[in-house]
Amino acid sequence: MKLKSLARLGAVAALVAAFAAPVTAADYPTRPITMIVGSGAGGINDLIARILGEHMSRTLGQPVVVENQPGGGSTIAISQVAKATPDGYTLLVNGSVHSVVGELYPKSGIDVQKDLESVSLLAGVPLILTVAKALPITDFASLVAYAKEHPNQLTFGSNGRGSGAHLAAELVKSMAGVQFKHIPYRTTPQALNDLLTGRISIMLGTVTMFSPHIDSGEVRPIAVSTGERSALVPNVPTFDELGLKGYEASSWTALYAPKGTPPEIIARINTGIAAALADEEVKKRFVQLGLIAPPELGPKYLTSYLDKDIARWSTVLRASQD
Amino acid sequence: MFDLLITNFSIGISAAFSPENLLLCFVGALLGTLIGVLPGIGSVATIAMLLPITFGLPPTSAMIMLAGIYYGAHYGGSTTAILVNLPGEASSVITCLDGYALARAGRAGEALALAAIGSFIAGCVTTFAIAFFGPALTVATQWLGAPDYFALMVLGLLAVIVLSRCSMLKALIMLMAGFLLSMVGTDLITAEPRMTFGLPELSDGISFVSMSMGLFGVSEIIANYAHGTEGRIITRKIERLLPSRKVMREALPSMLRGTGIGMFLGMLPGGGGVLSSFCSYAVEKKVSKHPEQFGRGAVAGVAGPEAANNAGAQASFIPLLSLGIPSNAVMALMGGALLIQGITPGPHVITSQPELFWGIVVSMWVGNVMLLIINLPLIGLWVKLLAVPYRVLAPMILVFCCIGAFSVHNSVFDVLLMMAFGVLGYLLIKLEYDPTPLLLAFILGPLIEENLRRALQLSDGSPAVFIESPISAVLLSLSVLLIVVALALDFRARRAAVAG
Repeated sequence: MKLKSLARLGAVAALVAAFAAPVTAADYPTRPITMIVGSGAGGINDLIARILGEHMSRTLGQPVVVENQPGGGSTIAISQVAKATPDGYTLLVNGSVHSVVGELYPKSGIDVQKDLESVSLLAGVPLILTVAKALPITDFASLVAYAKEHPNQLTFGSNGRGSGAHLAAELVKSMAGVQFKHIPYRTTPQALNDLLTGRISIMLGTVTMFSPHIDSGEVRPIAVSTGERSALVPNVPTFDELGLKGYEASSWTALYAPKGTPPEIIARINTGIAAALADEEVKKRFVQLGLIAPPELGPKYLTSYLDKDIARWSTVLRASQD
Repeated sequence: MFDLLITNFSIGISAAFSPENLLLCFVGALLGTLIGVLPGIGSVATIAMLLPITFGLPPTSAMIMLAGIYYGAHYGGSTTAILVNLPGEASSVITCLDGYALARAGRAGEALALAAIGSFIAGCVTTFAIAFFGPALTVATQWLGAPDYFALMVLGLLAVIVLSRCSMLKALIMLMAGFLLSMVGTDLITAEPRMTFGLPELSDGISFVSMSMGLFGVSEIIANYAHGTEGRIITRKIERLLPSRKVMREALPSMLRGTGIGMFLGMLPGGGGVLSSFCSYAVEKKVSKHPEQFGRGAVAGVAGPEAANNAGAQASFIPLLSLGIPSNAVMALMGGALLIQGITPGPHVITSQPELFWGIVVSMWVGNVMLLIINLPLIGLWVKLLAVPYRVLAPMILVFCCIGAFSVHNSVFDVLLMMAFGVLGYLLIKLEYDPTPLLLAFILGPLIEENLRRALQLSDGSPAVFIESPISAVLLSLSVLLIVVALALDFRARRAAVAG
């Protein structure tokens, strides 16, 4: 009897010790890591999280679980991660909307620069501007000329206010000094359908999504949004080449941690990301999805990238009014 | 044409009948049935979770398995709807109405069999329809613009009010309530939160899973305890497990109509199983010789919608595979799976990857046969579940409801919301309001709003756009006609009553 209760006590003590033992950053990770994605399952951010997460599970030695927490332009996911214990077990994967949540949702009280630690950029998604085939527009010069002759007649589709496609088009508007009307859709495919049938005039989207329709002549490519031409459509010029000096507006996806996460843990996660991005299989999937690996990994680069992005888009959004 | 079809089918058969693909098809169908039975756990979450597993598979095998999960879920979703008034999937909500009524009359086995057979027939017909006309039909739906969608939805809604089983005024009240509830969330155009009362949990809108499980599953438990369990619970002896030949003869036309409706609506953006099943129910009620039976255990009220939701699920593959445009969240996920496999969904897939397109088409038929084989023997087992005493069954149902509501967004708020809808649902039972118009308005509300606003945005605010499009003009005229006829009939009935 006594022995039994002693054994029980021992078991309880062991359990308590297991939970109470200070987990040093050197041990990280000792249990599964949860990556919360700020958008729905099957979207590009989700796919990036799952592709990298699967590889990181192997190199970090613990499962990486991907959870989707869409809604409110990712503010729900941001708040959830910001409130989580900063121990490296709850991370956030978010897209380019991250730079504009402060501007778009002032009531949410979110300040992404204060609430979260940067971990690393994960991927960039080059965009391409295309125009419906029914319009007499063949290149960037004729697009600008048409827009100036027909003020407010050209419409552009996007998957919602604050999305990468919306912001990139606003930047074209402000840099080229033209007006297009924004038509937001719930999802990108709906907007694509209306572009294919000519109900909207232009749209920015991923090269992979547009390439079959460019090949079949349903839409005409005008320019790519990156600093350099895309290997998938080498004939299409960049906006920079076309006179919008310094234009660069790809969608991008990055990883964040709650404020106060130890730098050693962030460094450990970065080794997992670096290993994943160096893997041949992952590289192949990135090419197939039209993704490009970030120019530099790590928290420092992401923080400076994010700061610049936030400053730029708040100016553009305030000027656009739509 | 015919030779080509035979060649295509033989490509598909050799792809779908390889031992590996047969096994994956079975795994997909079985998994789909399971998640279909579990309320709240939907195909989007399951497919997203399994996506990394498919990385190592060839594209056709990966798609065959994932597709099996999706349409398998539509088979399984009706099980709990019929047995305990708890929709396992959003597309089975409407099956609760008559499926559960049939179960209470001791005909649970028949209702389950009708659901499985209806799904099977829809699956077979849709497979062949996709093979013959799929790509052509998609091009037709592609030409529907925002004004046309708006007009189509308005007509659908009006039809539901006119056909509702309670008074027109009550139906209208429920409809407006459904609209208002659907407007909670982030405004599509301005990205401003609407009617969220500052709750971030509401910024994505009210969860349909919480709402439908509350209005049906939870309210039923409250009602059972409030009224005393006698009479409402299935006490009658279950006579047969499979429907008689007479019942099948009655159900077959409904199944075929449901299939047609599902095939068309499944291809529309935002369409798929849910909308298809609601519309099929409305149509069945309209063409029925005994509309008063609906809601009290009409065979057509189970057979039609269950066929429609499966046809809708399968038809929603057509726009993705033939145009590269996914029509709902599951299809977007499938598109992502294809991209990872190195295949860009688009108009060229049918010609450049014939074994993929035809392999999936043939595997759908194979999958449907497997689902029938999985589901029919299970009926006996499910029906035995009803022998479990209610004091044991009710807490189990509640626990599953809570898990289901929670799992959609991992949110406790959604569980509380479901409980609140449970109380509301009980009040509706007491006051004899039919929740169907509320649910339909909730589903159609965002589509109507979105298309109305987009049509006006594109036309620079001119409402003439609704008349300029011939499709929209015809549909809106039909809507007006429907109102006039309904009012005239109502007026005549009243005058007769006064005169009498």
